[in-house]
Formats: sequence, C-alpha cells, structure tokens
Amino acid sequence: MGTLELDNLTKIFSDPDEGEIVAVDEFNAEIKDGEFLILVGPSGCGKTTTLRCVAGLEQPTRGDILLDGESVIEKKPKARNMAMVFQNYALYPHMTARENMSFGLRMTTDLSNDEIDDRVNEAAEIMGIEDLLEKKPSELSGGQQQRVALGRAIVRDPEVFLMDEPLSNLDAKLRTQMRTELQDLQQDLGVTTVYVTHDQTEAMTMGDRIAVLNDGELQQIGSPDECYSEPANQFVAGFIGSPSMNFFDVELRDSVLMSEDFDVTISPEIEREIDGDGSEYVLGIRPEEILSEDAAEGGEDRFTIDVKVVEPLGDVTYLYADINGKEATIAVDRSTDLEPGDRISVAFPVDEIHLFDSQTGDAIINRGAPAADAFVTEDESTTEKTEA
Amino acid sequence: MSDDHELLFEPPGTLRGRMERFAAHGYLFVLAAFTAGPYVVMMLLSLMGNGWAPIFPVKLIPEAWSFQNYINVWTGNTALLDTPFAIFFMNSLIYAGGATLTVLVIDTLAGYAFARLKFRGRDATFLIVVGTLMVSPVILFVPLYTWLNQFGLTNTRVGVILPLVFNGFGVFLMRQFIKTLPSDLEDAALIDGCSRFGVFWRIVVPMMKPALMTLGVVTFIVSWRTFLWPLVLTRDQALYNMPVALGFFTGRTGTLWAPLMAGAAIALVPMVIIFYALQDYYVRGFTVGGLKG
Repeated sequence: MGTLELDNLTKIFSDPDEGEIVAVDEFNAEIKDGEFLILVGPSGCGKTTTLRCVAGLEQPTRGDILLDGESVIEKKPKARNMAMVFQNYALYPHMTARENMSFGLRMTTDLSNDEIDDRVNEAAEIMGIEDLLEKKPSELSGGQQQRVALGRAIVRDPEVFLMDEPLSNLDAKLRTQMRTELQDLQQDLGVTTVYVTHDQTEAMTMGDRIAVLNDGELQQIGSPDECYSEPANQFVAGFIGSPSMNFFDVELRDSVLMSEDFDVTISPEIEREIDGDGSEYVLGIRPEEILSEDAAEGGEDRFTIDVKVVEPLGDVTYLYADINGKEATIAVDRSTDLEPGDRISVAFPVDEIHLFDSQTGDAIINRGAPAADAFVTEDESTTEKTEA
Repeated sequence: MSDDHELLFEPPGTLRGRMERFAAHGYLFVLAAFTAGPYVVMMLLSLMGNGWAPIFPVKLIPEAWSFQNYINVWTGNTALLDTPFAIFFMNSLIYAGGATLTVLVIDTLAGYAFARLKFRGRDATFLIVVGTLMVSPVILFVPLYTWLNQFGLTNTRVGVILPLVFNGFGVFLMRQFIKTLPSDLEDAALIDGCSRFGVFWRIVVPMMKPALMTLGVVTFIVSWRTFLWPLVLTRDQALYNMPVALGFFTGRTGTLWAPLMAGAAIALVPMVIIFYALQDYYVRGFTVGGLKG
C-alpha cells in the first residue's frame, strides 16, 4: 500500500530580508495507492518544497503528511520508505553505479551482500543498465545516469516514488523516450508516484492527475483532461496547454460579450450564470478552438484580423495576430497557405469559450457550460478547486 | 601553451620570430638562474669540507665531493649542535603532520557547518573567522604565548602545533569548496539512510579530495618551515624543529656553512617531494578565490 495524504500542508520560510515566505499554503490532496500525480506550476510555486516536505528533507510549518493513514511527519527521511529521484540525478560521484544503487540498502537494511547484489541486479535488469554497474557516474551519459538514479530508487522497493524534474536535464529526444519508459515503469511497478515538473507535455501525458500550484497554493487537482478543458481559474487555464489559452477583457451588454474588436453572443444558459449588463469578465479561448477562414464564414460573430506571424510546426500551424491590442494565437491546419499581412475572418464559437471573474480569476463558464462548483470533494468529483 | 606562443610571437621561420624567442628564453633563463642559484650554491657548499668561509675569491666548487656533512648533521656530530638532526627532522614531521591532520579535521567540519548548516549568527561568525586572516600573526605572539603558558603548554609539542592549527584560510577554502558541491547529493544520502554526520563522512568528505589535498599540502608546507613560534615556545633542544635547529649553526664565533647547508638541504627534501607530487593542488590553493562560491 502507498496511499499518501497531504493534510493542510504548509511550509513557511523565514528570510531575514524578505520576512516570511509562504512556500506551500494549506495543500490538501490524497494520492491513491499506485497513482501517478504530477505537481506542476511555474518556478517558485512550491512544488519542489512540497516534494521535499513529503520526503522529509523539509519540516512543514503546519499540517500533516500521512502514508497509509499513519503520520510520517516526525519520521526521518530514511524511515519514510520513500525514494527520490533528483533533477541532476544526485549520483555519488565516488561510487560505481552498483555502489550507488546498493548504498540505500546497505544503510537501511540488514540484507546480506548476496541479497543486496540480487536486488541491484534485478533493478539493473529492469532499467537495462546491467553493463553499466561497474562504472562511475562520470563515465556515464546523462541518460545512463538517469537510469542508474531510477534504478537506485527502484532497488529500495519503496511505497512512494518522489521525482523532482527528473527529465529536465536530458535532451529533447531522450526526454521523450524516458517519459514513455517512466510511465511504463510506474505502471509495471504500481508504486505511488509524485512527480514534479514545469513541463507542459510531461504534465499532460504522464500522470493520472495533475495538481497545479501557484504561489504556494493548490489551484486545481484533477485529470489532465479536466485541468485542460475545465480549468478552475484563469491561472490554470493559462498555465495548462501550449500555446497558452488566449484571454480578452469583455463586457456583458444585452446578451452579448462585447470588446473593442469582437462580440460574442452568449446562450441563455451562460447568461443565467453571470451577472447583468455592464459586468466585466475575462474571456478565454484555446488557439485550436478559434474558427478561421471558411469555418468562420457564416457565423454571426465573425470578425477580421490581420495575420502578423505564421509559425508552421509541421503538424499544426500557428497564426499570431493582435486582437483587442493583445497578441492572440490561432491554430490552423498545417496545409494553410496564409502569409503575414493576410486578412482573415475568425470567430469564437460560444460553446468553446471560457469566462473568468475579472477580479478573482475564478472560472464561471468552461467551454460554454457553467464551471464546476468550488470545493467539490473527491467523493463527488475528481476535480477539486481551492480558493484563488 | 603552444597556442599562447603562436599568439605572442611572430612565426618561428622569420628572423623577428627567432629573435623574439631568443630574447624571451634568455629572460626566462636569467630568472630561473636567480631562483635556482641559491639552491645550487646550497647543494655545492653542503658537499664541501667543514672549512668553507665566505672569503674572496669565493670557492664554490668542492675540491673533493663528500657527503660527510650530511652524516655529521644527521647524527649530531657538529661543533655547534650535538643533537642529531634526525630528531629535529622527526619533530618537524610531528609538528607539520599533526598540524595538517588537525587542520583537515577542524577546517572541514567548520567549513561544512558554515556552508550547509543553518544556525543563528552563522554568517557573522564566518566573517569573524575570515577576518582573522587580516590579523598579523606577530600581533598575537604575546597573548598567545601568555595563554599557552597558563595552560602549561610552553615547551611542549602540543604547544607548537596548536597555533599552527587555527587559521581562517582553511575554513574559508573548505566552505567555498563545499558550496560548489550539489546539495542534492546530501539529500539523496539522507533519504538513503545516512545521519547528518554520515552524510558528511560518507558523501561529502570523499568528494572533497581536491580541497583536502590542497589544504593539506599548503598547511604541511607552512608548518614545516615555521620558525619563530617553535623558537619562542621551545627551550629543550629535543623539541626544536628543523628551521630552529638550523639557526644554531650560526654561533658567536662564526657560521658552520657546510653543515648549515647540509641541514637546509635535508629540510628541503620532504617539501620538494610533496610539492612535486602535489603541485597542482598547491597552486589551486592560491586560486581559491576563483572557485565558484
């Protein structure tokens, strides 16, 4: 078993110059046995601090951490039965790969040398590093070092894997390969995993659930699809997805969301959710949901834009244009022959728009429908949302 | 180096290039001669008979080569000093070795504390430690002597070693080096089951080999050649180190040049060996300010 619960986890650092810094603010989450949870957020959002608190490398200021219902807050890192993989691999440079992998077992168990060797060989086989065991880290490539670091974590047979941006030092190709391997490995071993990253792709593809953090606060925890399609607030909407969601300031007048460059006529269902005339919102729409050219023709709310930049990426082409004085991104088919300077029609389909409170940033409408209520418990829905 | 040469000089095929190289090598030869000269003279005089005196015309080439001076000095068979040099050599080894080992232990622990542990007043304390580098050792002579006297440590080996040990340089060097080591390694070791001291001993110390060698070499060489402090602190001849003992070859009636030079040559041997074996580390000791910190 490896059910991990974070109960009001709070970590405050005291800095002589800047006073108190709240790195993690009342983080609540339950990570089920065998689940792969991704902690994602911008630099300084508290994701690594959360991981370090779980590992026992930082002592939380308040709150509790429970493993299978038992508090581990007073336990030393070695007694928590967790293994951690670090961004720079953290392999001991004076030890061979075998010594690195067996070090934890030697320190924490009374297994015989033969038993330790067997377990190291087994882990090495899983990671495909049997030939590297007698080499020192300096003789290994980045990818090989990462495999040894993962092997070191596996060999301990822990209840929880903690991974702190383990792929960020690898080149793009290797990162993609290791991403898949890590997913396979986690599924095969079925070990509860908390994985910290700031990488969009890793967040969207690897985990069962994503926890999005900002300024130490949990913004949303849910499946990648939920966080993408039903963001709890403007921060999540902007952070999840690449390129980012487009945001525009709009004002409600006579069932129409109006702005300088465009109008969107809303449905009665949306209107029921929002305040009356004159109220202001932030409208969000993903680049791939914006209708352009032929698709936009015939729509009542279409408007024209001047294409500034055309960015073909192979599988998709992005157009950049100014809308309401802000740069907007529009995804179009890769076969487009549009060029900078072209004028095209676009439209925002009302069933794809998101509306956010202009003051709090909370989501009111997600993809044309009312957003899920705040503080929905895990029993009722897999998506949680905290106060913004 | 060859690249540097190419940048410094005209091509070797040209007259100007040849002249530049000749001038540069000539200059280096003169510098080398000035530097090596005293050592050559030392070796030559140490191989002469006892009667050498600095009179004109100066005679530098021995008429008969002999190692007798070395034997006399090593066994204590000279007119001004009857204690065997072997004892002074051993004392020097004890002082330099003791100081080096103690410095390595204390400074590594202190450097680790200053680099890694969080405690109130850490930075202020470190500033004070580094600030001691600005204090001339001579100023500390009287208070230190008084202090050691109160502890009954004058005229003892421990008394000679102790003042050699406390030096902000080593703490600074160790702290700077430890700060360059990734702290993830220590976190990994904590998770792997090490105690805080276990992390230090099993992970940090093995990674500090270059810094330990540097500090060890610098401390050994400085302690080996220390003169004033053992001179002031020791009264028994049996406690003298080599530099103090060498001073006794100069008496009221004159200087025993040949034994003096033989003794100096003996004193030089360990330093030459250590320097040649570990010169990279010694040089690194002087570039510590350039370490990433």
